[in-house]
Amino acid sequence: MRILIVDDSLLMRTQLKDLFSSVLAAEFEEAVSGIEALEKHRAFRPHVIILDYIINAPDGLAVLKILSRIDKKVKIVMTTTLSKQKFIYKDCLENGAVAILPKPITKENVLKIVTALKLNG
Amino acid sequence: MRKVAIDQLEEGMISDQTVYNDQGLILVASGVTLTKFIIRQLKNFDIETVSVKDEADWVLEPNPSASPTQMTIAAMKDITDEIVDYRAIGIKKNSTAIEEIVSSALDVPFVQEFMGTCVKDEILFKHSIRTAILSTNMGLIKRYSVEHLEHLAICTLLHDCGMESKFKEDDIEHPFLGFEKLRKNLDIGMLVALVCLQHHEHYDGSGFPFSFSRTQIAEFSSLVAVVDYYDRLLIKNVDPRKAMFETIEKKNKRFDPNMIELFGSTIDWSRIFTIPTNIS
Repeated sequence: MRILIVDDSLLMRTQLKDLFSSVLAAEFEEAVSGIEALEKHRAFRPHVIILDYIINAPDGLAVLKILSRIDKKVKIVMTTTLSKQKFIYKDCLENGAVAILPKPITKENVLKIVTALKLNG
Repeated sequence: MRKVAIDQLEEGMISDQTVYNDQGLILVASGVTLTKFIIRQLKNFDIETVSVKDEADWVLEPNPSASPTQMTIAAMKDITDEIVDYRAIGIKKNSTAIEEIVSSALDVPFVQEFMGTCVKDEILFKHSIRTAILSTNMGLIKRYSVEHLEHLAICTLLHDCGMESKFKEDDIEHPFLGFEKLRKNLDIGMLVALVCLQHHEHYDGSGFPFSFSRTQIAEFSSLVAVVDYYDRLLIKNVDPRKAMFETIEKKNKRFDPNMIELFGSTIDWSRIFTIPTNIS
């Protein structure tokens, strides 16, 4: 299992990596911007991408749209602090995200996503 | 030509085949000089052998890439003069720097290949070069680093590479086709592919193919969008003054206001009423 974590904050990337590696065995790669995310998607060929909604241009939604058009297999989980806004859920799910992980991130939510997507199976 | 096992590849050898991975991505194109990075990539993708050119056939073979590069540099001189004389865009004081930057962009094998194929279509060939000159000039004014400027020049030269070497005014497929082509070539940075994908996106979200807006569009994409639009007007034989105003008018609608301000600052306003009308 290869997981790509895209977030502009080092703290958040480390936290996500720790949480995910505590519940499943995976190789991790990190990216800080939209362009780096696309670059790493090409080189690292991840099975799962954890993608922040707000990153440097192109932003999370744009990267989501591009990736879901060029790669039908990759599972994209969006993370966002704006999880109370319904339109963000709609935007993400309509454009191919498989799940949304609200910030601050809890182990409980990570476990839910890992189980729902059968990542540990 | 001889086959060499992956462990015996050395820096400086020249590949004689195009190597793909199992998904059809190009890992290394034929004629490319191998670097440490490329060899590591090949190992990562479990490639076992690669055909390389023998030193002897490399010396005997005339360098096929020299001609598109030379043609581009020759055309660049004419186009620079034309811009200075008839377009009232102040590039004269930057012209040496522009020439150096665009020439170094031509070192990229894929750029040479593209210029070699599009030379058959004069409009596309000149459009690529003219936009590259204009965007590099804007980049110099914005004081990008040399590395960024080279990248910008590559982005602009290749922005219409999805057009299959024939300029078509109303082709809405070419951004995505070009993006796919560039993305599959590991020699090309993802930013170049992204600019190709996004150069018809508008600031207000009315563009194509994804209707991206504002923060969804990379900085270089919005820069290239401005010079591309301006040059397309000139191709349609619009008066150079009118083309400028038409471009500037679209600030905040079609174009990023910062990029329009930057474009405006390249115009030599003192000469704008002395340039002749309707130069084809």
